[in-house]
Amino acid sequence: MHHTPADILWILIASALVFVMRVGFAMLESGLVRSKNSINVSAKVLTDLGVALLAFWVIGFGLMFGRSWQGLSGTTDFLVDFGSLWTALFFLFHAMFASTGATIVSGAVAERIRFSSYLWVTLLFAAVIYPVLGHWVWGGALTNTNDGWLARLGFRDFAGSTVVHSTGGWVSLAVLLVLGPRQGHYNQDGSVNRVTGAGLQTSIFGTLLLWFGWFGFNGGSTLALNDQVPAIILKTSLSGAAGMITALLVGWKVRGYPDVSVLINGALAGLVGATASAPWISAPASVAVGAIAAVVMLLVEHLLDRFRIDDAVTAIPVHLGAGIWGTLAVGLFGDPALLQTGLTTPQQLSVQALGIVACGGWAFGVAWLVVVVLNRIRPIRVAPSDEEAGLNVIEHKASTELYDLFRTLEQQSRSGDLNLRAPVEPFTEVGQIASQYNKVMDRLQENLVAKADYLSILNNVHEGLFLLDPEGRLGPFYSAVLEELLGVRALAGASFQQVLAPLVQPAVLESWSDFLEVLFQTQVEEQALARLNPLREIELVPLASPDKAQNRHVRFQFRRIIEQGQVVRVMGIIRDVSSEIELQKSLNTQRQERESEMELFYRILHIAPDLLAQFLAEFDEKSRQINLLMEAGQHTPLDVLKLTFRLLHGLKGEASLLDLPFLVTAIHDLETEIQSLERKADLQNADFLTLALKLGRFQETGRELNRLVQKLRNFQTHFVQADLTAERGLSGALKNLVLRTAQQVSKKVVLETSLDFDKNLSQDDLTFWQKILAQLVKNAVIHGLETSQERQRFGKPEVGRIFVTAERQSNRLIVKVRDDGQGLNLLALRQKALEKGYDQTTIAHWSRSDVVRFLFTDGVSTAARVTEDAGRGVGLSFVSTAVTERGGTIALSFQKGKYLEFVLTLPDQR
Amino acid sequence: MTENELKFFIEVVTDYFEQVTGESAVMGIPYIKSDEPAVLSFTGLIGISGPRKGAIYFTAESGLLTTLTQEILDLADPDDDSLLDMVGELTNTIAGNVRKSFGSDFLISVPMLIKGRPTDILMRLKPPVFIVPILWRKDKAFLAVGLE
Repeated sequence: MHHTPADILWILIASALVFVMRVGFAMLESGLVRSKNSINVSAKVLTDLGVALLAFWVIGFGLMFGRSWQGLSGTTDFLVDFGSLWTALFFLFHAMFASTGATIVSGAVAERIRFSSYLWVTLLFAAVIYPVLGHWVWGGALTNTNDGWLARLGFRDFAGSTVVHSTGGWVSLAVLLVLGPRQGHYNQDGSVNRVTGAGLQTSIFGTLLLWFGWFGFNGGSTLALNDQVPAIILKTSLSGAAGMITALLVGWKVRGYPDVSVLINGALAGLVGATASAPWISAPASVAVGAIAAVVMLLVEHLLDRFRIDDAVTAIPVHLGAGIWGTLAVGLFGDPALLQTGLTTPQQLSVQALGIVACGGWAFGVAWLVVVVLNRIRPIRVAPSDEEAGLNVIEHKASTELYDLFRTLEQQSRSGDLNLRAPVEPFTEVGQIASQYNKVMDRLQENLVAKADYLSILNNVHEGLFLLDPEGRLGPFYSAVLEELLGVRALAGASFQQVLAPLVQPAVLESWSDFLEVLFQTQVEEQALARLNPLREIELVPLASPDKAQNRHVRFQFRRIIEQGQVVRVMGIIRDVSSEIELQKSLNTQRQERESEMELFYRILHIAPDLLAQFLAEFDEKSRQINLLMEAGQHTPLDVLKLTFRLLHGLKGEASLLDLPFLVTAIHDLETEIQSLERKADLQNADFLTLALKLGRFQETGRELNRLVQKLRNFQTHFVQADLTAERGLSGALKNLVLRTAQQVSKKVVLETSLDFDKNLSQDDLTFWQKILAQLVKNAVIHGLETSQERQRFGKPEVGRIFVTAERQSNRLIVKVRDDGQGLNLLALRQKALEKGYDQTTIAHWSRSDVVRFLFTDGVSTAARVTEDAGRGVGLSFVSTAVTERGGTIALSFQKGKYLEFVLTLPDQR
Repeated sequence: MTENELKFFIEVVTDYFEQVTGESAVMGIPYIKSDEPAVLSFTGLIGISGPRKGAIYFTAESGLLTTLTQEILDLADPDDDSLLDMVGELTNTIAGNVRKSFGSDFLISVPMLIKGRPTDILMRLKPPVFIVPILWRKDKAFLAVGLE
């Protein structure tokens, strides 16, 4: 067969046009699936070109166009050599066909099939399913012989309604049955959740490109640039147009709106429908073919949904549905003269149907078997989580800015982490959305942080802080202390008046509602407000709990918040001042007490002491008599009053004489009270309460006077004593010590000293002797001497005596401390030793001097309890150590009941 | 101490008798005691500290307490412990009322029950000590209040 250069050029152009269909497919499919899968779908369209091309070259072309075996399959031309121009041209055109068929599958199974599984399916399609089937119909086309068994029967499929489109559809169906629908595509009730595609406009562009490609697909199938070509292209287009308009009208009617995907699929169905018959039918027939193809497409789509077969891009209705119809249309509308099969229309129809069934059986059967096996080896479907995430990222790590934004939002919603920000892809819409979103998040976070700071202040401040609106309602936020101070929880939005109601007197509550009005009037000045504030300082009394311990003294302050000249809210500050007030009270009392004491003091200083003493004695006596009168109950109440009056009146005269006006006033007051009681018609015992209280206070004043006089007396005694007996030096210090110690232990003691040496002592020596003698003298008072009573019982003088003497003998200093007390109690010391853990038998063998030595050990004291002055048992051990350190000795002599004497002998260091 | 406070204490006691026996007690002429205490055989004392210091006590002879115990508890012949419980019950009533009505100014101690005549009872009361004789039926008791 001769091929003109025009033929060659046309086939080259047609091949390029078919190639362009791949672009169309990529755009169509990626626009119909969700953006998370758009890259994956496009990648498949690209990859299957490679796989199909190679597979078709290695094996497919041979199986399809090699020397036929029984019309079933080609057997030569594997790894075909492009030695001749025609073979190369023919291969190019059909390789494009093969890969186009494979691409149909990619859309149908989109959004869930594993990428690798898809490649296996593509390989199977291009290497086996499509070539074998193609051989049945188009076998021998290279050599212009009719080799295929179907072709020989008269089966006609001009450009592949069955061979390319239906085969793609059949394989899609087989894979989909194994794959199952996408997650959430079908509801329980069978209704469909239609996917919003990544971009329908892209799909529309894709459809236009496909249509354009179809010029080459159908127009090139003549394999020559002859007079049929324009008509073929036109009839194909008419069919496409009819398909589109029909689908639009039917779809509009059914769905109620012009669905874009229906529009697309209608056009494609029309184009597929005309593919088998374009050269052999009339133009009107091509319109009919397209229109019916669209209806068939819609029906198949409906059927698929009915059986829950989820075809992502409606590939099966378009390619399989319309493909079958187009194939049948050859028999129905094809001009027998042009078909040249020699068959009648019914015969032709039968053969076409047979072809459809045979092809379907082969394509579907083989694909299904292989996919089931593949699925067994490794599931062809991705994991649900991967399906959710989208195959762009899962399969290709190909993220889109929308996907990143989505991921950020998802992560944020899951973690609640407000620090997350969406990635901003500059100069994209999503980038702008992300940028705006980030700005919103910034503001939100700022507000939240500010709010957190604000709340933390409210939670930690010691004052009750709150806001009031003009209706007197509390704001949503207030300090934690407020609830505690008011004893009420959940105050947000509460009416402040109602909160106060159980806490304050009704009159205060009434004043509050007036004050609230004034608070929101700007013309009233702040200072005036402070004066008007009925809650300035108030005791909150929770009526619900009458326990008075709950009462609080609080201070309220109100500050107006002014915006644009209007008081919008009022801030309330409440402070607990209970302890402040308590302190104030106690200070006042103390001050009053001191003042009255000083007043008394001044008065009595002016009075001659003997007169005062006489008056006080009189006062005490009369008070006693009054108390007795009332207590005894021997007289009638009236008599009690009369007698009391008389007693008091006498006192009043004397008080007046001594110029004690406060007493005169007090007595006068009492007299008035008594007279008013006397006048009472029905005198009750309870009426005496006031009198009793006044008498109590009056007598308390007398007691106070006594106390003061006593204080004065003590002061005077000490003053005089101090002046007269003041003795300087060691002797003086020791005497003071004895005086003090004796007073504390209630003993009467006199200290006699003869310490001539103390005038010449160095400071160091003075300190030494002070310590030593203080210890010994204190011991003598506390341990040595008896109480006055004991001494009297033993026939001794009442006053105990202590003698401290010091004398110098050659180069020795001899100091003696002697008391005329009870001597040493050896029995008590032995007992002490026993308590200290000494062995009983050891103690039993102790001599007098052993016992005495024990006296000087640490921790020995016979005093019954520890006081400031005695009982710690370190005194004598200290003395012994100090004396020994100075090279001295201590001797001790005593006689029970008579005396105890310490003799300290030290080298004279002078 | 104020007249109202004193009145309050007296009313608590007289009301108690009225409430539990239906027969009100009557107060005698109140007086001041400064030397020896007016203490009878059974005494219940509440010490008070805080801003106001002192004590309140109720003291009664066994006669009154026996009648009261018989009346309330339906005991034919109550022993001394029961009488002490009785005085404790009355003192608790006073304490409870004081706590309710005076609140934070009065920090009151757990009532102390005394049998016999302790000499140091006056030490706990702050002078002037007011003695209020309480007359109920034929018997007499004392309420003593010594508060700053």
